[in-house]
Amino acid sequence: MTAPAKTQQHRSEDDPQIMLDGQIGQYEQVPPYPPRTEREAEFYTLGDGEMFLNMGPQHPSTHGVLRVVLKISGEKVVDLDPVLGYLHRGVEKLCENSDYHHIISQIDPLEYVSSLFMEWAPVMAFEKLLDVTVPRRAEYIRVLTGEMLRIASHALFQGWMALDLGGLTPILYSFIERDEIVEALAALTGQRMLFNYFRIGGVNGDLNHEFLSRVGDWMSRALVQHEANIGLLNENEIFVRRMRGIGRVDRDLALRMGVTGPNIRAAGIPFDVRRAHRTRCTPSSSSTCRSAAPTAAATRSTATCSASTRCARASGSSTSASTRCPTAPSWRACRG
Amino acid sequence: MDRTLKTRLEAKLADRLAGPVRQRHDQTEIRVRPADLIEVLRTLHDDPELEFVILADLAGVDTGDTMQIVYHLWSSRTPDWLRIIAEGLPREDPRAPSITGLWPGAEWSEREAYDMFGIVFEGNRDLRRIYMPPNYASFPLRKDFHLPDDSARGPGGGVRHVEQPYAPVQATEHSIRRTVKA
Repeated sequence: MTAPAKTQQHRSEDDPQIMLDGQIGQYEQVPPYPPRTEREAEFYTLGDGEMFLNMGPQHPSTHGVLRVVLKISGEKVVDLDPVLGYLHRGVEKLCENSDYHHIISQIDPLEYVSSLFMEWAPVMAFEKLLDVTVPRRAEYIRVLTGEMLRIASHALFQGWMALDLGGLTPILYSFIERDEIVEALAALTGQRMLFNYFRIGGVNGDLNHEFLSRVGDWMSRALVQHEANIGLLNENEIFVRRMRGIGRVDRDLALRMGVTGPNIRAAGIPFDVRRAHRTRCTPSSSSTCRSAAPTAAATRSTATCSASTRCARASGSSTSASTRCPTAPSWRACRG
Repeated sequence: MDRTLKTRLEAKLADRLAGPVRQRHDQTEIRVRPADLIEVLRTLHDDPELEFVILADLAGVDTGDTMQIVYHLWSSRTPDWLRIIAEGLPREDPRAPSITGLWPGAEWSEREAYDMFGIVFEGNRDLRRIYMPPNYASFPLRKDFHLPDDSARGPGGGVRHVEQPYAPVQATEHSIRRTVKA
């Protein structure tokens, strides 16, 4: 009885011996030609343990087509370079070659979530150029529709933010909130997304019954719905823990880096682009409101109270009577 | 229109204004020479009576003869928007000082003005193209960059082809090199 012949020992592919068998020096660290692009040159300057990682241009966590070149060291992002050109469509050049009415419809898809604001900007510019006065009713319609879309945008913002954190549910509720607004605007303008509604000197058409009834219907539920959506996030411990105390921007940084919108108001600066571009039907339109140089204290109080009046303003402007707007007195007070 | 802003600006900036202060609707406009630009903006930013702390916009303009840079500032001291036009940059070699010292956030706006108009901002630490590819050679928003359908504007108007980011020759060489190396 003989012992079985010893078979050749199998070596796993992980065995470092195999690597020693192969050719070493097959992969050169630096290829034998000069770097062809700046990015390639940068590549050879990487430190030990660092690497470049392309996030995008089609990556689920970049909203829109954005490429972010991340320089990472282990799991830490050391440096990043956003590459923006993937969405550049040369709209400025297109507008150079079109007349004013065409520009309105060319520009509104640039802000596809609330496209009325994108129409508003050129329309206001043309009105200033042409010295056109907008009828008061049209101005109110613009503010009403714009503010409704702004609420829809904020709703989506909450949903998307939760989506980025890994929560799927809030975005579904956000879309319910947005859909009611968008359907009402569709009854008014005929479109759900790209409304093409504002015109130089006014709007495309007057308010109709379906729009008004839909708005009334929505407003009767809006607050309850909104509270529920907010509760999904603010009463969620995981969400609060991940969001509290991060991304702090103080007043100085916000000013230097050109922060706008709710973020700069949160940093304590009373800059609101809707008030800075005055229309006749916003409370700040009376010249006494802002011409008096506010004291530092008044400026501060504006910042604190603007957040609370912002929501109420949307409904206040739709009722069109300042006497019925409960926030009007405090608004005046805070403007100094 | 804020009349007091006009007097304040005239008092503070007196000899550095290259033209009269113009006011229309809710906008006030001043014109400065590129050499005075930084000084003027610093006065507007720092002066406690002006306090134009928010830079809303920075854009290049090609008038056809010269280049301009337009800045829009906002202050809580006045209901007006302030527009500063730095005018008279030569089209062949437009250069202006960078304002990233005052507003670091203007870095990207200056990159955009460089990308679209070829205005060089001296002092911007990262003046690369922002939208167009890095090897793009021309400046698309200049008035002598025509779209093909510009020929419809008038008889005899010069039409240049739209520049391609990669010339075909380069593309071939590039792709050959890629395949050989792989």
